[in-house]
Amino acid sequence: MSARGLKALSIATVVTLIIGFTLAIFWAPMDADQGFKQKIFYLHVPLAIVALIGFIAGGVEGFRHLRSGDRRHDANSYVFIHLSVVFGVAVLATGAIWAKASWGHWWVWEEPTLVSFLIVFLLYCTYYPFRYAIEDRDRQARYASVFAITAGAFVPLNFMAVRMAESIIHPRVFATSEGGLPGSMLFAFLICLVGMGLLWLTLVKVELAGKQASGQVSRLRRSLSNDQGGGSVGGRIAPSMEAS
Amino acid sequence: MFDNVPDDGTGYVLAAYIFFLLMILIYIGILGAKFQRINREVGQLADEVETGKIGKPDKPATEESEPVREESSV
Repeated sequence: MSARGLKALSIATVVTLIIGFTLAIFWAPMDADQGFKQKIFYLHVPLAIVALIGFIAGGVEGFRHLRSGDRRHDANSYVFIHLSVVFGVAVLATGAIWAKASWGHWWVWEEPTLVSFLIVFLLYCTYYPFRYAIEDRDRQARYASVFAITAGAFVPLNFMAVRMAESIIHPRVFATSEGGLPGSMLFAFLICLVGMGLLWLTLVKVELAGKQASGQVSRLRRSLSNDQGGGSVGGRIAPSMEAS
Repeated sequence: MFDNVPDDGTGYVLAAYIFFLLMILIYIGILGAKFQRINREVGQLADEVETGKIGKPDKPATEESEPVREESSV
């Protein structure tokens, strides 16, 4: 993406998030049960949804890498998972704050939704040491792709298992027997969700641009060293955007 | 620390949104530092090429030397 496109995307992200959060706090009606503290919902839930979709998208890119061997898909998979882990930190933190406000505890181990998200998050935290433990770059990319696919498939399965669980104190707001969110709440939520998705996309684009620039610098340095008769400048373990 | 938070949860809501904002700002700061490092490396490479430290082989480049290819965009 060009710098101009990235700038437009960044502006769209900031504007959408500001509109979304403003609607959520000042326009969406107060929740009858939880009151003002329910406003965390407009931050916490979009973060969680985008993080989980990012994990799945990382698996899809891993699959595309295994099929095509194109190193760009591996870099996409790495960046998708990386950003989703960062979003996951925010999900856990905002969730803990909400839990303290609503239930009086920072964490409730009996609640399947919380624990399952923690398991998914910890699973993806192992992606980094797993990846960086392999020095051979081709093998590293292949193994990381297999991990991304397996873990990515685990995410929806985990989600469905939790939805079917009976022990629930974590609020269910979509597709409930009571009909779910009222229209104005849903509208504000959707704007926040779109804004969060745009934020994730913007950060992905910036990360990928950084990886691409870093890869170009490394390749240029290597090419210049080879021209001079020098050897390798050392391997890199993080994925780059170099042509395979 | 959280004993003085009002009962309506305003403090918690504020804490959650401020945490999110700070986290994004820190992340953008890290990305900015990364781009600065890349920029510095490009500058160093340009300097080295200009001063002749690299890029001017003692012997002519052989056929095995790989040309610098254009990076495909994503």
